[in-house]
Amino acid sequence: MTFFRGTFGALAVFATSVWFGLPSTPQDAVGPHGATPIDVQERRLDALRIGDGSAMPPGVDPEMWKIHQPEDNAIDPARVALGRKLFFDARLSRDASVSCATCHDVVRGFGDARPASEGIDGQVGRRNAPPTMNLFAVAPAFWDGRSATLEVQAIQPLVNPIEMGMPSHDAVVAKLKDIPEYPPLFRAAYGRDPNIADTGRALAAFQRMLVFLGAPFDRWRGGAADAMSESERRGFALYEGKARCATCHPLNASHPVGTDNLFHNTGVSADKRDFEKLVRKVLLALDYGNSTADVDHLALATDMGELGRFVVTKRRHDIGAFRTPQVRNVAVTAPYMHDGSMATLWDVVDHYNKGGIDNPFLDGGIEALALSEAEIDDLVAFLFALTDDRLAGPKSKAREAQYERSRTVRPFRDVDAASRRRSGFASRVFDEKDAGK
Amino acid sequence: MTGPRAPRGIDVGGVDRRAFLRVVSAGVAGLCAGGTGPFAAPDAPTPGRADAFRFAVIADAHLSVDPRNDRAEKALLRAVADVNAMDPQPDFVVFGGDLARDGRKDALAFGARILKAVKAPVRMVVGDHDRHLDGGVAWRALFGDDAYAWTHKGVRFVVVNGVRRVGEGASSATRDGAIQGPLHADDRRWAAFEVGEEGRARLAAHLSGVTKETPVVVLSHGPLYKLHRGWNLWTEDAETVQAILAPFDRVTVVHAHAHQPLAHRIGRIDFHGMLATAFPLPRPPEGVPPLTFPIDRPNPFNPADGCGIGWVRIAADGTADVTHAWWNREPTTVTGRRMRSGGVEDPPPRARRSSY
Repeated sequence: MTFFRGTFGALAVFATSVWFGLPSTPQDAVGPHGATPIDVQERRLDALRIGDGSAMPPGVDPEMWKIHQPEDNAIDPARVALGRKLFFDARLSRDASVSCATCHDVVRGFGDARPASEGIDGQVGRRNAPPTMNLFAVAPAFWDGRSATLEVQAIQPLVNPIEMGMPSHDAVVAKLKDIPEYPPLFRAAYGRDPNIADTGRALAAFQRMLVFLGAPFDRWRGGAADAMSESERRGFALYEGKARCATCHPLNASHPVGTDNLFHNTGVSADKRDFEKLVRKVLLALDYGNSTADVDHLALATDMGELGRFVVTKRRHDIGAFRTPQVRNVAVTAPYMHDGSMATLWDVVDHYNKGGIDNPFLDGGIEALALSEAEIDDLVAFLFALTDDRLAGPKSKAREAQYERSRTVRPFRDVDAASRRRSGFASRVFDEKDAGK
Repeated sequence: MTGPRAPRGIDVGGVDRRAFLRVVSAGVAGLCAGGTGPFAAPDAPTPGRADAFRFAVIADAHLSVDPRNDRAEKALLRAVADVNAMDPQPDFVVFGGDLARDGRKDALAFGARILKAVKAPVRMVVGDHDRHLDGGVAWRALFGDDAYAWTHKGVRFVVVNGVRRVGEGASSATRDGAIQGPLHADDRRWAAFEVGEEGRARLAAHLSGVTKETPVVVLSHGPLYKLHRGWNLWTEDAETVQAILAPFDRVTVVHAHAHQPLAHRIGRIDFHGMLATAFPLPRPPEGVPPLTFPIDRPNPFNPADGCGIGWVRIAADGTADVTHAWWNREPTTVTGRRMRSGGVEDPPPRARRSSY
């Protein structure tokens, strides 16, 4: 185990050094916690031309948009403007150093390009920041789905002790009331003084405008035959077929962002966890408190968060299960998985190619795929073709860096397991030495 | 399961919640002994009813030991992890038959190796697939006699071989290699299951001297009643077998083979079909007994859905509550009270999706 931890630690450091700041240009200044300075982020956001809330964002099916609009938070320019201001405002954290944009950095694909996020006092959590793109079609929120809606999700990091660290939601509201610009903005948006529910609503309204669905894939599916290369088209056939991606990442009219919005144990980092031991720990901990804040704390600050969905549901079949992330713009949101343990999309495909990492709670749909190296390259090429055209710059940089790394570093590759010459489960039945028989 | 509960097995009086969380996050795993497993019995034995106990059931693993298709093997490993996580541990674990898909020796041996990891004692029941190639010779070499009995905490347990074929002969031991043919369950060339004359005699012998007040649990792979001949959910000599069981006040038959929960009551005999680990089967087109509760159609995109393990809780008065612990759903319990009341008491949850 010591060996594992050592390797993992080294890997995490390496992944950070590779990815840290990659999508930004080297001369960019760095703000608190390594994030891109807010003014740079705001300029970048302006250049991305997201909607102001007066109309639905382009590229979204109107019916899908309607389905995902909450009744009590219809999209509206005043709400979007308020949400945007809140999103970038570090004053909402205890020491005024962390805003939403610290970890959901516009310049870094609305993530933070590091395995796990850093909050106040330099504390590092245990989960990878998911990109705040295309969230209109993603629910429930968080890796373990512990918030049913984006509105509820948006206010949790404010009070998580290792994220923004405010003592309570009341303290957040008091602070908002003290800042002169906010009360008029709240009244314009929701017709009342600042309160925590409307804070969540405004943040959700803003994030719902962050729609990035204009990818080569969409143009290709719209009829432009040359929008995707031959390799990318082969990759899509694999995505829908042999590689089985579409089972959980469906990409179609009713699933525009490529997630089934469900939870699966795919064995990520399963070889480094003792699930049964963690189960005993978490059930005891939850006996003493299972409020939203307690679960939030367990998920981010303890190893019990590795149980994923189980911490929320306490259902045995949810052990180690995490929500299916969207595949849209995945090229610019490395590193990957709930713990940011995979640095490239080649690593991700390697992981699924070998049938995940064996554990008793592995999702039944996860199987060895026997993809060849050429097929892996095609599949990754297709994943890059899911990147919105506005993110073409970061995409080509990411492709270059990921491709280069994948030619030499493939920590998750296991050709014997992928081709079923060796079964992962066998090692749990036999001794290691005869596992191959 | 929501809201704070009283701490179990550990006294932390005076420690506030946040402090406790800090303690737990610091990794004091030693604090975590005691009944906190996800399968903790909701009704732990109460003083004065010391005879109440649970046994677990794993069934229909259908191992093939083919590296190109290791689903069945992974599923059985999951079942073993589940029963080992039961807290408190079951008194024993019944394997309900069909360990191997086609009865090959290597598959049976591999299954035996997996089942070695079960912490509680294991009781084996023979299934039709286990006997497919050699009439059960390899199975008996690994696991011993296929008909036996024992008494546990005042309950008489009898294991029968409920998957002999009509016309197979007086003793299957002489039929080595005789049972060959298609594995498709719906093939009419298969002879029906029976317990057979010898099996019935052994059942009667195992129950001789047992008082009629003694709770009796019969473990069989085949159902011991008649639902649907086509899929061999059928025991040809069911009536004669039931006549042997009829004198007893409380009889519970726990069977496998159907790969789905079934519930039936004939006279004072309760019959329970248990979940499979390998794959679910659809509802048979006829003969589904009326006490069977409706279930949601298993999700074809999730091979674990519709599968799982089960356990039976025997109360001090011999009442058997049967729980189906689905791998992808909330557990469902069919209480003995429900069975006795003809389905009036303790209604099960309604299905949300349409059935077959």
